Amino acid sequence: MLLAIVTADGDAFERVADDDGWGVPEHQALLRVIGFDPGPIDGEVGSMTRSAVLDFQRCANAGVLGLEPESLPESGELDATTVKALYQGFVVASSPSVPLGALHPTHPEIGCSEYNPISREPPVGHLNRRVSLAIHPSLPPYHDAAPCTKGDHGVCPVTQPHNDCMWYREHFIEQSEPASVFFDFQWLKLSDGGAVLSVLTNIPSDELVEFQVWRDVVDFDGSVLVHAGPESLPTRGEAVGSPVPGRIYNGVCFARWYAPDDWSPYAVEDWFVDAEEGAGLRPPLFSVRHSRGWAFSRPPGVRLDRLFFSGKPLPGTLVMSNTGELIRVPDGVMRVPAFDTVHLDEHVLAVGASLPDAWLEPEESEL
Amino acid sequence: MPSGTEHRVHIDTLRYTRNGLATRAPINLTVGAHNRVVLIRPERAPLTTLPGFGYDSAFPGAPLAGLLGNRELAATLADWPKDAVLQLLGHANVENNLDHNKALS
Repeated sequence: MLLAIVTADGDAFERVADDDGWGVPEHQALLRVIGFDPGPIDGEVGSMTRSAVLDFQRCANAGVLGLEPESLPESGELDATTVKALYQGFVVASSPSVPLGALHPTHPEIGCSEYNPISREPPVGHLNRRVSLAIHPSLPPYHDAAPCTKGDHGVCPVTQPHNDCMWYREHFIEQSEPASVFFDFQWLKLSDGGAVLSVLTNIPSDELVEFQVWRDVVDFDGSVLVHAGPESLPTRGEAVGSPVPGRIYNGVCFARWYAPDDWSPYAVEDWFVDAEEGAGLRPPLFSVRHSRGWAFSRPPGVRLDRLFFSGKPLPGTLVMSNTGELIRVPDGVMRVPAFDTVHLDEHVLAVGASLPDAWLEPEESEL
Repeated sequence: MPSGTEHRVHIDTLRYTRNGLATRAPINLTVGAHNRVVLIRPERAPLTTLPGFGYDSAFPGAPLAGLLGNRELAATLADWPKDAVLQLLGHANVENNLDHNKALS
């Protein structure tokens, strides 16, 4: 599966998806990852999922997903042709487009996850597994000599003890980047005043997680803190209400949350109260906690691509994006310039009543 | 004592055993001389974690979001050396067979 993605092989991706019997939840998650938010990953085709599917169909038909223009029915339904286009769009959008010739010629996949743990500390087992991408500077001279092509299956010929693989030690260097367990945070505003707080994760389904909303986070610096340690959650601001239990389904961790009557996380003007230039922003954040770690979200916002696709920029909307981030819009790929923004580290926060055209100046596509 | 034979052995030509590394064939040493065996180690490859690969699942949503958001990986791929070779570590499936893959998990 990962090889299909890395090499942008949509047909191979579709075969695995079909064999694995993917359904609505998986399709919802794919929609979310490529920027069409279907709301909670609940397996139900509700109005939000239909809206996301309809947006996807329109964009696919306009040829803006890196695909040839499609002729999908603009129905909001996940019919067979739409699902096929979704797989193709997902692979194209996600792939780093590694040329086939760059793959290892004899062992593009190697090693068992038992010997490739996230941490060399306990726990041992499936919670401590990962998949890694190794980039050899050149083809190793004895590239076909790998001893561990059978993964966890069968007797390992490599010296014990557990998590101390000699092959691994001799052939790979860890990057300094820690393994994340939470990423892609979203506040999804609901029409009834509540919100769905969600984040992607590699924690297996049905494990317990806990969400907590915080306000007056005066030390917010634009960063998203991610940590894989078991330490307790540090305090950031004032807790709003009680922690909310969340659930995990297919790599998406989410909970429904309601603000108290006298406070709204979407009141953007409150974020700048007493704020000095470039510092002191006080946005609300939410935290998510699990036994494997915790993380803080970014402030609530509306993604630029969703704003544009919806065609209804809302007054007072906060648009948040990374500097230089590429955004897919119907006319091509755009880069977010700095415009009427507050710079915080490498992030850009922008508050505006509408999206000016200058935000959408086309540049050379890099996707 | 006179110098004997120098053997240069690449580590990837050795056999992994539960008792340690072993050559696949005997090495001839010179009796009554200082022999030298030079172990050549491979150039190690940087390893970038692809987060979010769910246990016992082929579902890629979360790890792919990780791929998209992994700036370090993006930078690495942008500077992709001409002769670089890519390998996925941690989930061997040389047979490209889903049942086999699940068995591995």
